[in-house]
Amino acid sequence: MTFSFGNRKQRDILLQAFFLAVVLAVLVVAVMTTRRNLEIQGLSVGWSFLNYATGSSIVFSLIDYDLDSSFARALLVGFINTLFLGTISVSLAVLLGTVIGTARLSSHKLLSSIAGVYVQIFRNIPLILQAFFWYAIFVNFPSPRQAIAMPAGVFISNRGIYFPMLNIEAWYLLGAIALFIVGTIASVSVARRTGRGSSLIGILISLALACVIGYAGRVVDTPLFDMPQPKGLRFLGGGTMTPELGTAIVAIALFGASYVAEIVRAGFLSIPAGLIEAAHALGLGKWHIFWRVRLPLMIRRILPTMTNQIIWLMKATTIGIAIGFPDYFGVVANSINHSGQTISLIFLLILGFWAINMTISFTMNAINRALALPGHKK
Amino acid sequence: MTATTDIQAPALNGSLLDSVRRDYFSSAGRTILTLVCLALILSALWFLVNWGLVNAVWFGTPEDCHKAAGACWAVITDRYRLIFFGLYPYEEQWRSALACLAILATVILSCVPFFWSAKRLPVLWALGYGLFYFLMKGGVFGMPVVLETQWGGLALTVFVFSSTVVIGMPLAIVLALLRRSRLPVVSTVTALFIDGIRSLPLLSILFTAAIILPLTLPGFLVGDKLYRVIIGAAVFFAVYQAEIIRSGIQSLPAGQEEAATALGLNYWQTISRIILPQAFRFALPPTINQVVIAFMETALIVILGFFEITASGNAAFSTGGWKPFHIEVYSFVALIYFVFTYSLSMYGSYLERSLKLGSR
Repeated sequence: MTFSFGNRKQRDILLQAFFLAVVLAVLVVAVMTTRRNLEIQGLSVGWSFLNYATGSSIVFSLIDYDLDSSFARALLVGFINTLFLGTISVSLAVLLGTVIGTARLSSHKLLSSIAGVYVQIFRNIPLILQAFFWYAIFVNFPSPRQAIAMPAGVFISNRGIYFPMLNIEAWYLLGAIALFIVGTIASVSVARRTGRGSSLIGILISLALACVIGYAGRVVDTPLFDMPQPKGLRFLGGGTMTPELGTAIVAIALFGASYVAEIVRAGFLSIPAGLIEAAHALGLGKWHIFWRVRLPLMIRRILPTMTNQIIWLMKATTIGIAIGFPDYFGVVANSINHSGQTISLIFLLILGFWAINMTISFTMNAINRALALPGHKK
Repeated sequence: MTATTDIQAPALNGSLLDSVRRDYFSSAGRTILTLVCLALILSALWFLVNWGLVNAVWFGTPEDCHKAAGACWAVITDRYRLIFFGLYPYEEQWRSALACLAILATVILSCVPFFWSAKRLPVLWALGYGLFYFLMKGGVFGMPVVLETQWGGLALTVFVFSSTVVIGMPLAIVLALLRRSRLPVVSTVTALFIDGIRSLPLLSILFTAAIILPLTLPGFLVGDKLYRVIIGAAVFFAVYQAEIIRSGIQSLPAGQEEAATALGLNYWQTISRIILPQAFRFALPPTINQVVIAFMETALIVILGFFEITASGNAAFSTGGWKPFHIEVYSFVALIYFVFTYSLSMYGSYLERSLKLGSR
């Protein structure tokens, strides 16, 4: 067979082969150069370093961690921190953003302009600058000695915010919360699918079960509530939210809320006016139209955009490094400094964020499918 | 008497008092809402005016500020040159100011429809960007050379931003076209690249560019850390922008491309004369949005140790007894960002409205 450039099929194959060759060549050169540079520095690419002790501390950890812990453990601490910070701040952002986005469309002009000013201010200032701003506020609270006492045993100081905790083992508490959430979702969906009975019974049963689990996990011989007590320069007991964690949550939640508010607003505006008019014509009241027509339709319309926004906000948790919150990226960067295992660690960084993104889009797509109206299934 | 006389038409334009009553005090709940909103607005205004204007100190020393109850704008009037120009040589700072104005003028001119063509826009940006670079760097017309390491403050922010857009936009077009390629290998590899980069945080891209790239690149390609970070930011901008352009192309009717082919136009003529100009029209509002985000995200390079405007703001209050007045400095830096991003996004939404009108 002879080759001719005029033959489209053959030309296409040649072009693709050339493209692939260029890409592969770039990759091979990069890998070879890296290997040579690492050899010069006396390092070898591998995974054995994961078992070595880090010898460095991490200021915030939800699981046991000390100087002798391995790099693998440190990375796990960072990954859990990212998930923890991300879950709290993104949930707050979505809740606050939904309220503000709804308020922007209120017929009450004062309310809608307050919401509008909020959105414009928080959308148009870089997140990192906002984080610096909140951090400056958090660390300028009074010292623990002069901590501001709030209701319900909460104290605010420049070392963090102290709040009462339940005296329950962490795993039992998590299990109880998880059980309650799963039970509620299950009973609501069963009640909806069968169309019989109220979901309330199921919710109450799961609440009771959660309480039983919580009771079983109580730390023996302690009161149920662990209240923070001032003790010299610090507080004993209770839970502590460090200034770094507090700053990261406040900054991401307030920043994210302004973006979510815009999505929610666009979602409400995209509902065809005919649907609302039909609801009016059927005699539904304002509240019914909001809760039963506009809100459900809005949520279905914004889910794909919201998925991207949530992924984007999860990635924004990396600003934690600027204020000293050890998130996954921060721990990876720190481990690179201590171990020199650049390539392996960057690979783990990519893998971690890829896993988070995949989980979010998988969950959101599942929600999207579950909520889709009949006849609109994709 | 017919029944129609009993039904009154709704009062559409009653007196002002009536409409206020209807809008704000029609029910108990609405009245409470009105009062809460009013209290919020008034207390915010009261605080801002008192703190920011009435009791503020505009010129003076930290001691003057400690005596006053309001804002200490004296830190800005005293240190504004540091915030704007960083460590750029004092006598040469007019160059830095002119350079920033050149980019500002370029951005403003880009918003004028006259420049919206495949020939004029690149020329405009090449001129503006080139002017910025020569003013900052010097070495011609008797201006002393100032190295990139001395650039700082707003000028560095503007430099990183404009470089990101200048490099990122053509790259985005290339990526978008490659992803739409008819050849499966080409489109798959490009899609993998785009989605891979998109799933990563920008900070990790910048970090990789600053610290990892020297390991993976052959020595002659390594270059300065600043330029590597700019390339990283540009690639990140390009993968997002490529998807915007691609969705712009996809929103065109298929007949456009088919008609161009039928007329005998080749691939490049079809793309540059028929597809891209129309795709950009659809993609303009999200593109402006992306440019605004790119501008705000330049602030991230402060973490990598660059002296851009957030860092020079930090430096402005960290010495000379200005320490307690960080709120004032952050507010000032935030205002600079806000003026730029707010006007651009207002322009974006104006454009979106007028484009919608045009396509009706």
